[in-house]
Amino acid sequence: MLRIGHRGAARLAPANTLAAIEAALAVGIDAVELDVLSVGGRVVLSHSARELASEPVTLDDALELLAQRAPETLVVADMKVSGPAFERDLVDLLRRHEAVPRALAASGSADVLRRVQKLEPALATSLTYPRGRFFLLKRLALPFRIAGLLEAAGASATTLRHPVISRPVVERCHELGVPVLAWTVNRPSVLARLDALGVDGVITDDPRIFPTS
Amino acid sequence: MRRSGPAALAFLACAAAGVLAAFVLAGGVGAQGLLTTGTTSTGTTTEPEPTLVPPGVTIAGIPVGGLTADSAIFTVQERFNRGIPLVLNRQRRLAPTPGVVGATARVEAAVQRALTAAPGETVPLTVLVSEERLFAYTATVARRFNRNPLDAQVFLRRGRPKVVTERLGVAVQRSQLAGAIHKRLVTMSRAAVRVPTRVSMPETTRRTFRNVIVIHRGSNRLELFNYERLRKRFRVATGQSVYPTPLGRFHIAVKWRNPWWYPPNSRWAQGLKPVPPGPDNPLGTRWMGLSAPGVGIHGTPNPGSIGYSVSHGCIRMYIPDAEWLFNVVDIGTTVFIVPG
Repeated sequence: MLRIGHRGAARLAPANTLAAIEAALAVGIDAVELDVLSVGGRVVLSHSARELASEPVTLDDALELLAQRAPETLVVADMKVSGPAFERDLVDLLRRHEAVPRALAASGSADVLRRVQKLEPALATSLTYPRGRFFLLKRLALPFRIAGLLEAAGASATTLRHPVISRPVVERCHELGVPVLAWTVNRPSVLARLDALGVDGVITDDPRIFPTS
Repeated sequence: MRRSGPAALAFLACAAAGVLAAFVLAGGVGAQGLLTTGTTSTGTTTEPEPTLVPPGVTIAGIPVGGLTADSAIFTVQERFNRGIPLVLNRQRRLAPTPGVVGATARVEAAVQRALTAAPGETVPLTVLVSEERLFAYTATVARRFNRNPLDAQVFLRRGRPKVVTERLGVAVQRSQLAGAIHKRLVTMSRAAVRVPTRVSMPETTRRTFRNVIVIHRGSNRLELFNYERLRKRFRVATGQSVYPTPLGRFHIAVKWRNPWWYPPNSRWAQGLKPVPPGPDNPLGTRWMGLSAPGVGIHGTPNPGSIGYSVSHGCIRMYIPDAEWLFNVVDIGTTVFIVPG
C-alpha cells in the first residue's frame, strides 16, 4: 500500500508547506499529495484561493525540495482549479523537474483530466470522487458507475473518499487495472478496513498511522 | 506496507497504460503484479537526522514519538486548539476554541521535555486558564442559550379556539459550565459538554385551556371546547338589543351554587327586590359570573326564552345544562363572545 501524506502531512505541520513535506518525509512516506492552484500565473500550494497563505509555497519549490531530499517520492497533484493556462503551467513544471513519470494529476473533472492527458500523454491521471456528500448512496452505486466515470475521464487511477470505498468497487477497479487511492484517512481503524479491501494507496494527514515495518 | 519508489512509479505508469488496455483486461495483471512485488527500502533519503522525540512518548495522551520538535509542536497545538463542543440540544450547540475561553498551553516546554523523555513516557502539558475570561465567556453562552418562559395562549380562529403551547424557560448555570469547560481544558479532552441549565415553568400552561367556551351571540349558541376540539353545544338566550351581551374575551370570575339574585343598578331593575334561592330565582340554580361586569352564565326558570335574544345581557341556559357546565368549568376558564 502506498503511504501518501495529505497536503504534505497536515497533522504534523501547516498544510501545503515545505515544512509539511519535510514532516511527512521525516515520518516516512512513499508519496505526497499537494493541493495545487494558480495565483498570478504561478502554480502554488493551497487548498483554495480563500485559504491562500501570505507567502504561498510554489510547486516549483516543493518539487525542488523533493528532488533534493527524496527524489523517489511520488507526487499527487490535486488540481483545485481548472483552466488551460494552469494545466499547461502544471505540466511544464513537472516536465522541467523531470517529475512526469512519478507524478499523478488528480481532479474531479473528466474534462480537466482529458486536457492534461492531451498536453502530456505520459502523465498519469486520477479521477477524484465524490465531490458532495450522501456517501452511502454513492457507495452502493459506485461499483456500477466507476468504469463509465473512469472511461469518461480517461484516468489511470482513482482517488476515492474513503466512505465510498467498498469491496466491489475495489475489485471492479482492479479488474480495470486501475489502482484505488483513498482520502483522507486519519484513523487506524479505517486504515485497517481499507487495507483488508486491498486499496492501493492511502492519503493521510498523519503518516504515523501506517504500521512501521 | 513499504514499497520502493521505482516499483510504485512503475505501478502508476503501468496503470496509465492499463486504462487504455483496461477493457481488454491487460492492465489488471500489471498493476496487481507490481503491487505485490515491491522491494523494501526507505523511500526517503534523510540528511543529518534532526532530533526526534523518542518512540512511544506522548504529551497529555497525544502520541508524538518519532516526530521532530516542530512537528510535535504543531500536532499538539492543533489538538489543543480544537473547539470544545458545548451542547444544549440537537440544534443548539457551540464549539469555542481554547483561545476564546482564555486558555493557553505550554506546548513548547512540553515538547522540550518530550525530546529528552524516556521512550514510552507520558509528558504532562501545562494548560493555563484565565478564570475571569472563562467566566466572561460563559456570559456569551448564556446570551445565546438563555430564554424566558413563554405562557401558553389561546385565540380564536374561524370561530374555533387555537391553543399555542407554552415554552419552558432556560437559564445557563454559568459556574457549573465554567467548571466543565475547565476540566476539558486541563485534561485535554474534547468530549462534548452538556450545557448545565435550570428550567423554569411559565405561569400559564396548555392545560389552562382544557375548557374553552365560545358564545355565539347572534345564533344564541354556547359551545364548550376541549382544547381545540368541540365537546358540547348548548342553546342559550342572550341580551336583547337594548341590553346587548358584550363581545370580547372574558373569563369566569366567580361560581355560585343556588345564588341569591340582587337587582342590578340598571333601569329595568328599578324597584325590584332581591330574590332568595328557589324555583322563582332568575338565576336558576347556578351562577358563573364573567369578568365583564354584571354579566354571567346562569340557569333560567324561563325555558321559553332559550334560543332568543331577550335577556338583559346575561347568557341564560336550561337549568340542567347550567348545572352540568358548572361542574365542568373552573374559575379562570376562557370565554369568547362573538357576534355570529
